Amino acid sequence: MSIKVLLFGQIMDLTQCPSLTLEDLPDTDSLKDILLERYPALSTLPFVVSLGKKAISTNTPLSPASVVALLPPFSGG
Amino acid sequence: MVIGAGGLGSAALQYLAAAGVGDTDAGAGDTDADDAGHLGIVDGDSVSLTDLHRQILYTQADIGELKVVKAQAYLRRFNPRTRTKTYPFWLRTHNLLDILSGYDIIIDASDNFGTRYMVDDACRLMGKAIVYGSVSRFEGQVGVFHMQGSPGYWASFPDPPHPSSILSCDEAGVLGVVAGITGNLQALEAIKIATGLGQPLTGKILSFQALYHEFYDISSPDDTSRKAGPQDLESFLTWTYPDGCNQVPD
Repeated sequence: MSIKVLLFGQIMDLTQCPSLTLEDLPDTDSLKDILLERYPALSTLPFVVSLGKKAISTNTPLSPASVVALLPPFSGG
Repeated sequence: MVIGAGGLGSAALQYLAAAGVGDTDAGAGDTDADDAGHLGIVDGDSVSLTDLHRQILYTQADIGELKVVKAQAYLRRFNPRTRTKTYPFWLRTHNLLDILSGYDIIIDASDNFGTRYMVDDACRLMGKAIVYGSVSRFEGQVGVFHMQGSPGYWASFPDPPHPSSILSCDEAGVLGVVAGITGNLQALEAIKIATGLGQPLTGKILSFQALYHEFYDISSPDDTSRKAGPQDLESFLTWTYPDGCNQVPD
């Protein structure tokens, strides 16, 4: 089961790519755990998680072809 | 009302004026515009050389001058019938409610988290729509909050970021054209709200990634309550807001 993860802002700077494809993850907490393992600096960044273009605040099951986006806040104007 | 006459505000103000916002037949250059439609501009800052790549209302001759004064002068040259009202100071809880009360649509073009959360709470309590915008490096965000009961900024970002967790504006930098595109998108959303055309980004955040030509919108969470914020206008007046990318100056 492939999960596409879109990355924005400082998160993209960390990963050095605008998106990732991850395999066999049951839920969004598992996805965050994998990303934190690969990119420990992610733990210091605030961001909102969206699943299917809907922001979520609790652990949510993933399904095949799920698209997750990680969106940090910006302050600049 | 455009909060912040920086990179976002420079773009938004030009296109709002070009669309006829604040254009009346009541008299050229009238700044005493409480009785008619007008553009409000609030910013306590002055023009700096390092602003000019993205704050295209200004020139090198304007360095050191108040932004709201030079922005107003630019808009008058563009169209002498554009009515503006300027507020050359920083927003605080004690002055914000009175200023916002004279406007129907609030454009958040500020550059710090403290102002963003403060304006978000004020508009929630006053029932006024916000057109939010922000930028960092090669990306912009735009959204419409508190419209027809839609959630606010805090719904997607409930906890103000710690200053050390987010690159400061000076550290991050902003590509000028990205601020221009984002400010234009804010003007577009404001015009849609004012005219009823189309479907505004109500309750959504549109993220624009310039380097990889990605436009991606997400809907805010459904919870429209804000238990952690001020619950009425009286408590708002004494609420303490965080400092972020740029501390809200005294």
